[in-house]
Amino acid sequence: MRKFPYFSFVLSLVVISCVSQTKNEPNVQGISVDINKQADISEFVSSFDGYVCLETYEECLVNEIRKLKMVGDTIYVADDTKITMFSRRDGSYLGKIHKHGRGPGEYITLTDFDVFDSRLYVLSNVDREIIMYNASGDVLRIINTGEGFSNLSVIDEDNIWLYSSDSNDSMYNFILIGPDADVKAKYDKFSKNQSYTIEDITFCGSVSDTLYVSQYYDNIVYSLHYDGYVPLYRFDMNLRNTVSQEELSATPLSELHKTYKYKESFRSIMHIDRNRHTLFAETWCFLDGLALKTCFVKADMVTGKSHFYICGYDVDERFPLFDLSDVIGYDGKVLISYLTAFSAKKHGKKYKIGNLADISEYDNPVIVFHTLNY
Amino acid sequence: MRKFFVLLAGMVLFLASSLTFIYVKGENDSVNDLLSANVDALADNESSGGLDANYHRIDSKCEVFVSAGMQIDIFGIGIITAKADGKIAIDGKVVCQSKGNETCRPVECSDLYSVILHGGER
Repeated sequence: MRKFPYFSFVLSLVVISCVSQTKNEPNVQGISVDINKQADISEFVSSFDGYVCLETYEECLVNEIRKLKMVGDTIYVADDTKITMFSRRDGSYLGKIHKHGRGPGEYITLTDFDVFDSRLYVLSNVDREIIMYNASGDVLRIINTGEGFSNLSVIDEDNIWLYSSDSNDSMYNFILIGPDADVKAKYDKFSKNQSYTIEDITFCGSVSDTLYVSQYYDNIVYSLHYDGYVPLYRFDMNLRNTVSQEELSATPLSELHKTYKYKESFRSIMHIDRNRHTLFAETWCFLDGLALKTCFVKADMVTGKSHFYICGYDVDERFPLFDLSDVIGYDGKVLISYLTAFSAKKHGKKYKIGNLADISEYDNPVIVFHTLNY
Repeated sequence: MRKFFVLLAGMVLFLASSLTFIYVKGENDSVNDLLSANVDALADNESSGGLDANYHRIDSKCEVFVSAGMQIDIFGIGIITAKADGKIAIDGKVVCQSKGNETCRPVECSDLYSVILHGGER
C-alpha cells in the first residue's frame, strides 16, 4: 500500500506521455542528427563501382539530367523535353521518347516520368495527362488526369500515385488512380490551390507497394499506401531554423520559401531506405556558408545513434567522385550520381580516374556508381 | 492699296494661326484621348485585379561550378567561398507555366549571382 503513490505517479506519467504522443505524431520515430559532426566517408560508402560515359552524338545529346531511373540494364535519363535510354554496361544509346509538342501523343511539358514493365509513363502538368509509351515511342495509352500534378509513381499498370503540391483543384496532395483515371484513394487534404511548386522528389523510396513520401520543408517521412498515409520518421537536425509542423500546415509553401529561402534550414528528403535496424536517408539542407547541400544521414534505429555527412563539403581522395558528383538516383544500395563531361574530365585528370581525362568536355554526362555502406 | 495688302497679310496670318491652333489642339486631344484610354485601361486592371494570373510558378535550384577557394557573391546570401571543387547550389530560379491561377515573373539563374571576386584554381 505504501508503494501505491509511487505506482500511480509512474502510471500517470505513462498515460500522459502516451496521450501527448497520440496527439502529435503517433508512432513517429525521431532521429536526432548533429550537423556539426561530419562522419568519415567510410560510414556511408563501401566501394566505388565505376562509371559509364553516356554515348554522345547528335541524336542522343542530353541537355541536363533532371531525373534518372535505372531499371535492369537500362538507364532512363530525362531532360526538359525527352527521355533518353542508355545501356548500363557501356553507356550505348538505346533509344528515346522525344514527343515534345502539341500534337496527338505529345506532351507540352515533361513534368515527371516513371518506368514500369518496360513502359514509360510521362506526366505532363500542362496537358493534364499521363501518356504511356513503349520503348519505341509508340503511344499505348493516354490517361486524362483532369488536374495538373507535379510528380507520379507507378505501382503497377492499374495503380498510379500522383502528387499535387497543394496546387490543383482536387484539394488532395496524394491521389491513387487507376487506368481510367478512376480515383481509388486520396490523402493529405489542403484548402487552397496555390499554383506553386518547388521542384522536388516527393516519392522518396518504397517497400513493395508502400511508398515513402516527403514534402518540401517537412522533416517527416510518411508511408503512403492504398490503406493509409502515416508519418513514420522525423529528422531532428540542430539547424539554426526549424519549420514547425504548425507553421508548415498554416503557411502557404510560397510564403515559407520567402521566409526560409536563404536561411539555414531543413529542405527535403530525397531518398530513404531501411535495411533491418539501419535507416539511410539523403536529405537537402540549406547550410550557412555552404548554401544548398546534399546531406546523408545513417541512423541505427535501435540505439538511436546517427551519422551525418555533407556531400561536397570537402573532397575525400578515397572516393573523390562521391563528393564531386550530383546524386540522381538509387538502385538498391547503389547510389547513382552524375558529372558533366567538363567536370568529369577535369576531376578525372586530377584524381587519375580511369580514362576520364581523355573524354571530350562536350560529351554527354558521366554516370557514377558507389555502393553504400548500411 | 498698301492698306489692302497689310489687311490681307493680317488675314492670312490670322487664318494660319487659327489653323495651327486647331491642328495642335486636335493633336493634343488625340494624345489626351490615348493617355486617358491607357489610364482607364490601367485603372480597370487595377480595380478588377486584372493582372495575368494564369500561371503556375515553379521554383528550382541553380548551380554554379566552382573551384576550391573561389568566391561568389550571391544576392540575398552574400559572399560564399567554395571549400572544395564542385558546385554551389542556391534557390531562386523561377519558371512560369500556363494553366495556373497566380501571377508569375520568371527568374533566370544568371540573375541570382553576379561577380566572381576571386578565382581559385581553374
